[in-house]
Amino acid sequence: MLRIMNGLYELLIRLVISNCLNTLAQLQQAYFACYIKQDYFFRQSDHEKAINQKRSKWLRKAGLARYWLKSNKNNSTKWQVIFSKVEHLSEIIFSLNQLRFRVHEKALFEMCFVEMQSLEKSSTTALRKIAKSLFYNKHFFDSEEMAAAIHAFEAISDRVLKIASNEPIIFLFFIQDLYALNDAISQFYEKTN
Amino acid sequence: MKKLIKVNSVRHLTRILCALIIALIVNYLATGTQQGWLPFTTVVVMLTSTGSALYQGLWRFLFISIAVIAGSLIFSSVHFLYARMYDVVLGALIGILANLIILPDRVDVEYRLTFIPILKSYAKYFSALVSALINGNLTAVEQQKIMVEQHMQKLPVWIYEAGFDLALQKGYRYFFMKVSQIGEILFAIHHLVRFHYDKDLVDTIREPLLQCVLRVEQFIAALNTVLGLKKLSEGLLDFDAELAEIERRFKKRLPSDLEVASITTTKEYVYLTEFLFDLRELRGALLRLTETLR
Repeated sequence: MLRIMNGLYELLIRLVISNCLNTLAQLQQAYFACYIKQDYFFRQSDHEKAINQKRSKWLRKAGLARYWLKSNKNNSTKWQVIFSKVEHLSEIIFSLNQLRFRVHEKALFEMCFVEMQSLEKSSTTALRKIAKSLFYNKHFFDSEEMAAAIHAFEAISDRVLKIASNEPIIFLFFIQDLYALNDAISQFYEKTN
Repeated sequence: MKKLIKVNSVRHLTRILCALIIALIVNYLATGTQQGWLPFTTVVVMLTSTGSALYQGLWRFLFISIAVIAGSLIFSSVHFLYARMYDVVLGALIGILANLIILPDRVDVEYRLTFIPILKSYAKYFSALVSALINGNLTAVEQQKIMVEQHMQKLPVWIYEAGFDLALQKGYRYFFMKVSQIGEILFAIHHLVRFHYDKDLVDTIREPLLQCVLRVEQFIAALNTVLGLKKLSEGLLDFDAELAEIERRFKKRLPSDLEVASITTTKEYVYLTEFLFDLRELRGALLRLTETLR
């Protein structure tokens, strides 16, 4: 009986953490819409509304995960460590997306439009894949895809963005955070598989 | 009782109850159908978010009207349609008027008071983050983070609702965005604090950093005083000088050959530079908030 209860508890925690990761992917998508969509600077309020909705959803899911982790202290130590990694992932995403407050010229985002699209796609796919990997071991995650997108962004940043921008250091921070995100996703995958 | 009546949800509930009583009396005295459309419409048009009573009430009235017209034409005679529409119009009139007249939304008070606990939790979180950077102990930070997350869920999202007062919309949304930005900056700092820094390096900037914490606390206390409509006892002290001092000390410690230094060292310096950049942005956002309140 105890074994069944523990099994159900573990399934529940996997589901809750997987939900958190999917919500983070949605949040990341909402953030990247600011860089990719042409109308961000004209409709900033609408984009911030969408971000706020996704951020609130993330905060609710994180609160729920904490509640379930606290409810069974005997079995949750391993999952608490895993959840702390999810929390770290969220912090990196918040750090990464400070870029929208730091860049004030629309032209800069237009210059790296393709690279931003590829970063958005690879990072959200990675987050969704690690969410699925909590249930299916076959769901293989490859950090190389995101690393390639980061390298492409780094290249355009060195060639164009750092020269065109008034404050080139902000792109250095962005790239540093992208690498941190990729590392954190890989670590999460290794920890759970 | 006085305190209770100041709470917006209590005011809304009281409004609905009063309107429902009026609607039931009118329903008894002057109804067209006795099918309950009058009290039903009254309650539905009153289920609006803060600050959008008229606009959302009218939309709800429109939707009920369409539903009643369509339902009556399909399932019953035209005579019933007139009677039902009479009830719906009367119910909507009672509901919308009650929403605007009886204990109306105190948008400004509700908006200002929501931010006070959020800003207070920011000050505590920031202080815990700086302590964690200095001692490397993240336990206290986690507690404060949870508090901030809980408060951030209570942000007044109703300012984004359709029909919110156009005159207030722009300023309120800007303030909201800046408060959210501060929260995000603190989460970003949390990520940077997780990294292990050289103790000597951190000790170099320790003193002005602690001064910064004091200044941020004073800043937020002053903001809360203004938000609570109380009088400021003293002027605001900017922490630009403290930030400049941190940057000066940090630059002194920067290795001249950073590009050939080890990856870990480079990462350490980039992260700390980002930390200082975040501090600058925190100051910027706090200054914008004070400007908005002037």
